[in-house]
Amino acid sequence: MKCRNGLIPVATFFLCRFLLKNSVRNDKLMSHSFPIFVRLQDSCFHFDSNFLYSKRKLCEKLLKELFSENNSSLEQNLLNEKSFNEAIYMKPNSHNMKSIFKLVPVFCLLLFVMSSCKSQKAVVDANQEPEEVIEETTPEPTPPVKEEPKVDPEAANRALDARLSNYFGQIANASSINAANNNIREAVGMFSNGEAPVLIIFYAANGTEDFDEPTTITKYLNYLKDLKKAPHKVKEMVMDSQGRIKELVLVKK
Amino acid sequence: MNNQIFKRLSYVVALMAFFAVSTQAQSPVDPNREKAIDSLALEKVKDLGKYIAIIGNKDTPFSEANRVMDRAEELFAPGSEMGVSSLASEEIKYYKVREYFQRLMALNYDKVNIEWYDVQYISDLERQPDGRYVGVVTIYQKFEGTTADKMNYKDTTKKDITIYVEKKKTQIAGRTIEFWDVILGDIRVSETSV
Repeated sequence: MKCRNGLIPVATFFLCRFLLKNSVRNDKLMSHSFPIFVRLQDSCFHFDSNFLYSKRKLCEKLLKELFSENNSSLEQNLLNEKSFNEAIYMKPNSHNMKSIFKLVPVFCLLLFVMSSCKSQKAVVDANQEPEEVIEETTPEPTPPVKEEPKVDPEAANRALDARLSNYFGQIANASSINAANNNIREAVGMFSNGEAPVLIIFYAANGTEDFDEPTTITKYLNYLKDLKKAPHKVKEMVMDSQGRIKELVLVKK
Repeated sequence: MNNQIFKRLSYVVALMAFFAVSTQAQSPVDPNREKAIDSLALEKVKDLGKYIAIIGNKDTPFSEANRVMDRAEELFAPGSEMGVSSLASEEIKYYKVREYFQRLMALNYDKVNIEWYDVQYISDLERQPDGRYVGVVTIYQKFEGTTADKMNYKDTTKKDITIYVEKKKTQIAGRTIEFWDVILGDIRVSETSV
């Protein structure tokens, strides 16, 4: 883009010169070629629509100055009655045209500089592009989160209860101390730690519950091993944030 | 005159209310509840019988025996004693429970079998003025020891165990839990037979 932007005014410059020189050489009035020049400069500006207006204004100012210096009648025309657009479509005489011709290289140089500025701006814009991209790009679609199967808390509790009760039975009926100890180790893994409190309700009536002396899960499981019986069932389990039992309430079977 | 009568009447009413409240506090709990407390205490005694069997058993690993000793000791009130008798002697020796357990574990037999049976109340739990329940449970202990050369010693001892039951409070996860604490006192030998 930068290269193309730089070439357009240069090409315009040479084309304009060629056309104007031909006009002068043929000693013809600019009745047709002058509007063409304006159109050409317009087309030259068109590559940058953002600056078209400002550049055109500048061009107009330059032309005004030219007319004011060299052609007072034309200036009068411009200032008094005619709009600038009408003025540039007027048939200029050869004297006026010579003054214009002097300005053409300056004008083209100006075009070139401005287009260079535009090119720089384009570079700057190009540098800023990543930010715009960041703004415009939609956030990457997050990988679809696998919806965990909804677990019914009551069903989960029942499963945990069954598992724990199974451990109670296995510990009580273990064939050896080692087997019982292995089961104790596994069962304690279901708890926050081996010191998780165990409350045992030995009597409940009229909304009141009578508790045995609170113990810990390790002591309780060893109690089952020592006594070779499992006289309690799970009444309530209080879970911690990691899904482990942090408090157990048992009741006599 | 009227004021004096009214004053006396109010004293009487206050006194009656006080007695009513204190009677309510000492009134026997729900019979089923008492039964449950009785059972709880009896279970503790039976548990002790199992612990003693484990400690005395020569097949019990040392670490296990020590762990069970700790559990068994927790059942007793501090300073409680255990009576020991023998067919060979009329004397009944008393040892602190921990010492008793250690001596039991170190008995010079190759095989020891201890069994408790007929565990029952001879004096039901009764509420004392201090709020504790106290009762006496009797048990029969059958002891059998065998040496490597097949020498065998066996006896049966009738023992009386004092039981204290009281309500206590403890904190569990920031909550106050009331529980019934069963504490065993001295164990005295009442009879020894073959």
